[in-house]
Amino acid sequence: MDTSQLRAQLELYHRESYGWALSCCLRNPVDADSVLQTVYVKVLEGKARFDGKAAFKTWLFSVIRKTAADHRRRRMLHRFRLVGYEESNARFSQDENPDDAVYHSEIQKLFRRALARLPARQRETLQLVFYHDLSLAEAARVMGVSIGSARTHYDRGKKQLRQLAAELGIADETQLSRHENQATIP
Amino acid sequence: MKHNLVDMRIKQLFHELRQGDERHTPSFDRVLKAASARAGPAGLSLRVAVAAAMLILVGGFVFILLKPSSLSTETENSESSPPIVKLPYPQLEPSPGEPLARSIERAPALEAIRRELTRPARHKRPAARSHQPAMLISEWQSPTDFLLRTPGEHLLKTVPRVSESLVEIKPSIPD
Repeated sequence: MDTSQLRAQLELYHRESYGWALSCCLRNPVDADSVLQTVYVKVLEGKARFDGKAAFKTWLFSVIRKTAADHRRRRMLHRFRLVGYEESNARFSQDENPDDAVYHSEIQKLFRRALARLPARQRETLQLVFYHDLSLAEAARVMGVSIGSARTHYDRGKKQLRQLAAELGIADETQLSRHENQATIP
Repeated sequence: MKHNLVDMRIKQLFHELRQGDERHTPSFDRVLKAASARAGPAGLSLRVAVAAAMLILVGGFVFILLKPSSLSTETENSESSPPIVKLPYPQLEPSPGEPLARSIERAPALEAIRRELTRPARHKRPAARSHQPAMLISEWQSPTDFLLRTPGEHLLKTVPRVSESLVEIKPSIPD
């Protein structure tokens, strides 16, 4: 695959890549942007080579995941502490656009909080399956685990997310509508 | 049934999350431009590193090429060099009229042993090899060989000739 083909593929999956990078960087947009830049450099300079064994999207996601892990490790060494998922979320939510009513809804905040409480592997599996529409086999490939492990993470993550959703009151439509009403009432 | 509804709701929430993220996604061109700007100096440093590595490799290669040639020159020189110098060895045969004890004392090997024994003990360093001329193995002689020799040994190892053993008797009576 030459550079122009690689560039076309990167452009095709750019939005999804950003979403995945965001998930890998604890929903920190600055880190996600930086990770994505690094990944593009790696791919276009041939440091990360697509061997054609898997789908391009699966391969690209695994590169993003590894790069995000490196990025996080480097940041941890620099700062000696990790920015928590919720902390980063709260910090960056200040810059949110008030027009994006859906994105800023109370439900989404609660949902993101519920996701943050999941173990990383379970969160990643659910994100790959539900958000990126990957199969469990593809998710396992991205995460570098066996399909059996991926299935376990998926089942446990889903069970835990169900419980968290019930706790936070976002599990059913009636509670959701109540939340949404509360959110819209000034 | 209830689980399925919850799963459907989870999927819906993920879908909403994705829609929200997509609205905030920076453009591909902007990310790529930032990536290329970042890659510029790194690429340069990579080129410098590759050039340095190549230089070191070439240097090493040249060194390896030159080293055997210098060795072969030495060999050639040694072949054309004059024959090996014979080291002087102590003459342990006592000269007539000289006592054996004195001739032993003169032996340089014994002198060296004596020096070694009388020298105060100290930590020995690996001594640099002295550049003495090489000696043929067939000409080598043990430095303690003289200890096996006894005075008058030549009388036991040689057969006396009749002419030498005859006492010349001068006739007392003149003819």
